[in-house]
Amino acid sequence: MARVKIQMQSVSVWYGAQPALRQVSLDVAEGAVLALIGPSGCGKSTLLRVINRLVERTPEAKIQGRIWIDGEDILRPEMDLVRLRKRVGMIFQRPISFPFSIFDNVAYGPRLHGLKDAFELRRVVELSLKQAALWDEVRGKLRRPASGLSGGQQQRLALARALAVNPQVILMDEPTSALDPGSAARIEELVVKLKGQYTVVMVTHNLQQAARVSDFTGYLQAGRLIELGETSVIFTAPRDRRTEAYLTGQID
Amino acid sequence: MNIQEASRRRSERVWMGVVAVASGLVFTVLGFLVAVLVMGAIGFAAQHGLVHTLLGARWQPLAGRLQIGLFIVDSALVTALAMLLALPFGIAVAIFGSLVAGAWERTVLRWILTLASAVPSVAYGWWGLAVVVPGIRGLGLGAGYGLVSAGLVLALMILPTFSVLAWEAILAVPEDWHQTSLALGANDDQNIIRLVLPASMAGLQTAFLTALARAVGETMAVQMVLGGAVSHFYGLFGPGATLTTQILTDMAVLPVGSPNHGVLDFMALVLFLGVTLMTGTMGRQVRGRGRP
Repeated sequence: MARVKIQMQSVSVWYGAQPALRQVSLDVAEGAVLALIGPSGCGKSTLLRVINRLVERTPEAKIQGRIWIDGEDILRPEMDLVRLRKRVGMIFQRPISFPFSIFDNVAYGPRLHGLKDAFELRRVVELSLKQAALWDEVRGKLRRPASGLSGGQQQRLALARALAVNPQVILMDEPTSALDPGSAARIEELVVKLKGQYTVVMVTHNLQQAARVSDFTGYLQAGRLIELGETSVIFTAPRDRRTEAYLTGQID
Repeated sequence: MNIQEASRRRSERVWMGVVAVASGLVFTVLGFLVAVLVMGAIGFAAQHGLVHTLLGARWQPLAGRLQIGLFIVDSALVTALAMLLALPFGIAVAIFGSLVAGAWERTVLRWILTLASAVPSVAYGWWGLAVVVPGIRGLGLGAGYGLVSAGLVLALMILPTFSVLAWEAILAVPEDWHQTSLALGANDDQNIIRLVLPASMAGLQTAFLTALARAVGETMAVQMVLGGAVSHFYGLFGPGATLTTQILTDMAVLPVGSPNHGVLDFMALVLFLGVTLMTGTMGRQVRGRGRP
């Protein structure tokens, strides 16, 4: 078993008086892909956003519990959020490109962290675009507005932008649900390719997708982590009746 | 076709008619306005010469000396001063209101700005007379009536409008852009400077142009603190007269039908064309550069 990258212990989140996540404990192995599935409003997105502490942007959000990344307690008050978010990248459901050029989109993160050298920036941008399998489609067009790209290309651009700050963990919040099947398949391929090099936590509504790309799958319901295990086991022989009910389409 | 649909179609036709008449009326009135100005202005320019009128600074309407160069310069200076002052404060207020303030502060600030933008300009002029003019005089910078005083009063007057429009422009940046930026490790300042301001640039420039147009055309608040020097430039702290204030001043001296009334048409046309050209060219640049 590989080293533990992310460890959560009794993590709970409330939005005001409304509990969103209750006492979730889990480990994610380094280099693994963890898929989070469950009905709408079950807390998947909250679980994702607590790992980079983006959940704190929501007014009245309250977090309890402990989370370690590489053994470092990231929920402690004096934790440097900039350093945390450099290590933990995120891709959202809607493909998001800033209203800048393709180049400036990818260079956004490195520039935030003080990279100014034009040659080095170019190298990082090219490398990130290659990693996100977008380079061949945009080479020579880096100065064009990113909004001219298709939805699937923009999602790969978002991945390139996240990779450009050289994270170790990548959070994905339903990264393919706004894409056509072909573009979705390309993102899935990329996730499989990133496996090993990055630790990926991915929320998905698409069970087949979870089965195809993930090593581990966690099932959430009403803010609780009902079951977590190897994907092959969860999908073929879930231990909990609720997981089985969800997988067979009885809950949604 | 049933009865319901027939009545729906009839009411649609009625509404189309109302809209057509209303927009026709707007164009007619606007066309009439421009036509009156152009006719008066052409008649005047033919008599006095375009260059002579625009570039000179002698203004004695009863003696027939009608050169408006100084008014153009003063209009430009007062407006530039006002915009220069209002721009940084307005952006700051907009950023605070839209991104920094809590719900309670936001509501109060918004209420104050809405109220302040509804205050009639004569009240701003009055404030200028009561506060700005004595203040400048107290600093030993002349009589207090002058271009800087007018710029200050004007800046305060357009600040609420500009702030509210800039606020809206900043709010138009979608929440998930903020989240994307923050998730990449941007701190709040970086998020504002590198994402929010560039991303809302088109809206900010629209806000700027709207405020600019209002500033150029403002008459009353400016007139009350400007001092009214018509034939000599006395410096930034000295008195002056703008196109708008001088039209107001000499309306009584050169009434409609009097021989040199055309110069007022000419000044109004210069003002009209100036604002149109300025907002037009800047607006085009915005659209060229803005959100692709």
